[in-house]
Amino acid sequence: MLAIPISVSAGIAGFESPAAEYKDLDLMLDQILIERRSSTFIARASGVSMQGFGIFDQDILIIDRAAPKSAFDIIVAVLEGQLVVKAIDRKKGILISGHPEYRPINVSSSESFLEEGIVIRSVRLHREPPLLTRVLG
Amino acid sequence: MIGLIDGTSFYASTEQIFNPSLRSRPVLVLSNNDGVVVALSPLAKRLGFKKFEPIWLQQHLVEKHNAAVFSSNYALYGEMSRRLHDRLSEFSQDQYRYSIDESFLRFENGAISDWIAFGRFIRRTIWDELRVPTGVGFGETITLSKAANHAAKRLPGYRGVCHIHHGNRKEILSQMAVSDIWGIGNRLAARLKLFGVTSALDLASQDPDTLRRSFSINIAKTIKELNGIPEFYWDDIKPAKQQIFSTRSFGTRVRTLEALERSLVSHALTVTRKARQQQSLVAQVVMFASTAGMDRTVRTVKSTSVHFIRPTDCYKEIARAVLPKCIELYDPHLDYAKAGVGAVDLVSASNFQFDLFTGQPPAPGVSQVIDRINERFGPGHMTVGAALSTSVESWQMRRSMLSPSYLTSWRELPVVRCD
Repeated sequence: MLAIPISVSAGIAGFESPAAEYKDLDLMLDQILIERRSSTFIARASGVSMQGFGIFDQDILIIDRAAPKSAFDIIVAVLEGQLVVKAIDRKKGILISGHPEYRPINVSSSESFLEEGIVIRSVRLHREPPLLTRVLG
Repeated sequence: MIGLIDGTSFYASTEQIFNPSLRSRPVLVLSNNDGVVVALSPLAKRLGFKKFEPIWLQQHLVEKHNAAVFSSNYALYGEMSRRLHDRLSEFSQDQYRYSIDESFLRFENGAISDWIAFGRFIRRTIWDELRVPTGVGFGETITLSKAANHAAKRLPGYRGVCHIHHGNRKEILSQMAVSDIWGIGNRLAARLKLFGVTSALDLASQDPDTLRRSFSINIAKTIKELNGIPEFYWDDIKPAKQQIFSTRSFGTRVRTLEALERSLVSHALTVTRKARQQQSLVAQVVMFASTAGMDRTVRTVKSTSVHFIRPTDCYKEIARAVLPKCIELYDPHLDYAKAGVGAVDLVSASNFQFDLFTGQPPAPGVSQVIDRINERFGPGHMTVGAALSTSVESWQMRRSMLSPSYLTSWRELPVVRCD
């Protein structure tokens, strides 16, 4: 999300690159994936409990703490000291998983529950990009 | 109206954002070489941990209270700082980013009818959107906004937000020591005590012209500011230092010239970096190296200095000048325990005139790239070759308890659990 701005000049010295004028037309994924920079963070999903909502193990999630809430959202929350991904039904006050083995959790009276932000996008990596490969050991 | 918003225990609070299990534990953040506590979470403060004291003196408390101890994570704090300032800039276009976690905002006096409610709104928004706890102070002047911010956090009943106005000004200032007022250091406070001035209200009640004659123009301005008359503007509060030092004890004794050179060049680069940050040029540096007192009967201190005819802020120039002088400090029979470099003559980069005889300064490009890379990845990531060694040196920054760079490294993203 943050790049070191070092200007690069392409082409033969003394000749302006014909592409230079068109650099504003580049498509940067940030433009559609991120709406509010200061309140947004990126995280990695771990586990299978949200597959029913299309979030798979090792997906990239984009979470916006300032996104407007709706009656039903996919959220990241703190539950018993850990960051978890769940769907929330705000009217019923329950957290729902997308997997038959996980039962809904009632949080309307839970003190160990705190909503952190709304998952506004998820990104599936059908091939692991080298930048993301975790260093083992 | 001036607002001062700052992060509460900013470094420690930032560590708690992406590791929520830390939110119920005391959190301590250590200085570069993992020695001294530089930040405490509010819980750690209440449990009796002490800031600016070595961690090893507090080890028993760490174990007793299961405290979490971290090295300073510059990439993480820097990115959260940028987000804090960016978000605050949406409240007012007239913003002054004073430090890593402090921003001044200027507002039209009549823009807001209830400043306390507005302060609570800012605080709530920053917590909701960034998970950074803040303190908010409003006052008619920069000095009063700083005092209000202090009151918001330290005086009972304000719960993080305070607005100093005509109705409550005297009452609040009477509860603050004069040394709590901006620009009044401990030495000045001790001198003021001789004049019977101990509280902030005592100072506000003084005649500015009388104190101007006995002290300085700045104290006269501070008195007026405490009475709601603006005297300071953004440019007046730039904290430019007159001298900058970088010095550190070696983890293990240094015996070789090469190790001494690396240390001194590294300190010289640190000093240069700090000078660059405040837009100063270095005109003279002193270099020193000393043995420990207990090794021998006498502690040996050796020092020398380098004078720059054309003041500079170029990393390469300063390293090139410092390196050949190191041999003057070196004695093969001594075990060095400490070394350092101080820029003792600094001039303003914007005011300095280059002339025919001093020559033009080197192109700033290389030093700028070094700064940008180190801003992002932490000090020392890119440096001048003479400051580097092939083996791990004990004097270099040890960051053994570093948290992940959650916001700036793809390999260190926070993990959210789906189970």
